[in-house]
Amino acid sequence: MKIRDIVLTSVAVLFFTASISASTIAHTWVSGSGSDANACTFASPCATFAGALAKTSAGGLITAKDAGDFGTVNISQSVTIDGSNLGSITSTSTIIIIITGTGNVTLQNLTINGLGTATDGIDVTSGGIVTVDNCRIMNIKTIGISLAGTGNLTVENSRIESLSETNAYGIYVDSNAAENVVVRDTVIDASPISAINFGFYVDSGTGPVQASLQNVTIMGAGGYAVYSGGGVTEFTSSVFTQSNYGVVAENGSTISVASSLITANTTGVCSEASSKIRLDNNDIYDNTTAIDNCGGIVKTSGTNKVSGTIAIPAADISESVTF
Amino acid sequence: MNIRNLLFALAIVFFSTASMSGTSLLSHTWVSGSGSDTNPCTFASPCATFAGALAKTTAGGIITAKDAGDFGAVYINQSVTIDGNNLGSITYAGSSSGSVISITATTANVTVQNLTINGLSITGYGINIGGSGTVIVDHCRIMDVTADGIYYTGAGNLTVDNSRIEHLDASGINGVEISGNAEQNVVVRNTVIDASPSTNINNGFVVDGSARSVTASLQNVIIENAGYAAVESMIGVTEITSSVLTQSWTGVYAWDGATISVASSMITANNNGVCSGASSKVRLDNNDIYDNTTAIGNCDGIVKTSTTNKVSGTIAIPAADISESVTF
Repeated sequence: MKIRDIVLTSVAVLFFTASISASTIAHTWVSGSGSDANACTFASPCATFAGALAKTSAGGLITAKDAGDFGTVNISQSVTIDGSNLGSITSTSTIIIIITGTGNVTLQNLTINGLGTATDGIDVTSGGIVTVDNCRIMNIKTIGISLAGTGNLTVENSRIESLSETNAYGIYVDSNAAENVVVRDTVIDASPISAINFGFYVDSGTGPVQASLQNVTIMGAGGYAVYSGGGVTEFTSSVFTQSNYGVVAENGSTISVASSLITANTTGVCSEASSKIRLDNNDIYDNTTAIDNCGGIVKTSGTNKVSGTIAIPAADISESVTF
Repeated sequence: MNIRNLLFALAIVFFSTASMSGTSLLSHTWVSGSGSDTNPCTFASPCATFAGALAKTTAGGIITAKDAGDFGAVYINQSVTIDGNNLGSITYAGSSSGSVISITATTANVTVQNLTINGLSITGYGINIGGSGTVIVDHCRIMDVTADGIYYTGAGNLTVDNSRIEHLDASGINGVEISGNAEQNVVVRNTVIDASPSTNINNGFVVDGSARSVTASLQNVIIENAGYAAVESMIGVTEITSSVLTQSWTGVYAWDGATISVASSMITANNNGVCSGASSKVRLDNNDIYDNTTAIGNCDGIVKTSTTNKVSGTIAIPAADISESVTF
């Protein structure tokens, strides 16, 4: 082999190696002692979710191998990020996790802490199927989880707390597109009540929003524990408590609440003009005003139990099994 | 003993020791992300894969993840508990007819717990269960499959608890499918089935297969975004309580003579809330049925309701097919 051939071969090997190192793998790993210069394998883990994501094939999995603080991440492909109940992200960045695109994205077993400075915890836009499972989102200024644009969001087994600025939202749905939302087994603590904050908020957009919430507790909202400005929202087996308003429908929206507690709010239920709230089998106690006269319709079955003032005109309350 | 006999005796001891250490089984084996399947799978010397550990585990034993790792697809043909310890995962790019976990053990007790199971949108089944006995899936996340999340054709009992099944990445598949020709008892509890994307014609939970005895009981289950039905049954009896069936083409669909009973649940935001096909029956008690395009469709079967359901929207079934009774 001539010197020139050896050089050419070496160059070819070099390029081949470089090309391999740039390829992606289905399962990558991060570690508190990893480095993003690594290949993100189990044996040679990366340091950040962002570094691992760049080396993860679409639809793959990133797992925290051990405890660590794995940094903000911008996700635009299908992927599952599993913090293994060891991983966390602390960040003062504006948005800690951004999810765009139409992929399947799952975040699980992760603590997300905005240190009172980050504006949003998780922002979802543009058509994905997103699951947030067993995550704690805290110390966020404005929005814990935001869904904007077409999308399907499922939140379960999670906690959103310590919203550090007034006019903040635990979960915010922009309501400008077809959006399906499910929240289950989740706590939203919107306190302090001195801030005008909101627990679960569907904005007054024009999109066909469908939201279903089961076994959710929302507390401490200086604004509304629950607000909907569009589409249909159903709650079951939930608690809305210790807030300024419990459940508020506006702008033609419909909210149905069944088998839940609406307690210890200044106002329990308020249905604004052209909006509807259905109440079935709830316990509505210890609110200063149980049901306020907000100009809309409240339909009740005969199975709710209520203490306190019912300020809405009797004509706006219909008792029926068909509603 | 002369030297030759001594050497001979030592050789026998050596070989018998080697033979024991090579084939003996342990009741508790361990896997680790840094293990090796050439190890004996003890805590001190763990294996690398569930399959490697299973070969060294006694029938009825337990395999535990010692730390985080990706422990590989596994074929289970004996009684065993596999515990991922909420650290273990399996990512597996198998065939569209393959399975991340396959269980074929007969007269066995198999438990899979605390594990993330990811088919990478390539492998068909998350957990494919045949054989017979009792199978428990607890605290598992099953995702990105191209056949079913859980496919059960075994004889006996299946329990799914505290789990999530999501991302059904092909059309005509199911979150949980109860099928085959054996007598089966199924319980699903505290579980989320996200049948997304709803553009796929998928079911959340379905009972199909040959005519046989099947009972299924679902409690505190939420099923969303099924392009076909959140719950569909063609055989046997299925009961649902404290559950939410939502954002699907059909919430509850009984046909072919099946009976589905739904109590204290929400059936909401579906195109069809409830559909009972010819010779089939759906019982409804104390449910909230709201925001469906058609609350109860005219599907030629019987819907029996107590007076405690609350319904909004169209009830398309003839009044004669709806009976209100506490005896039903």
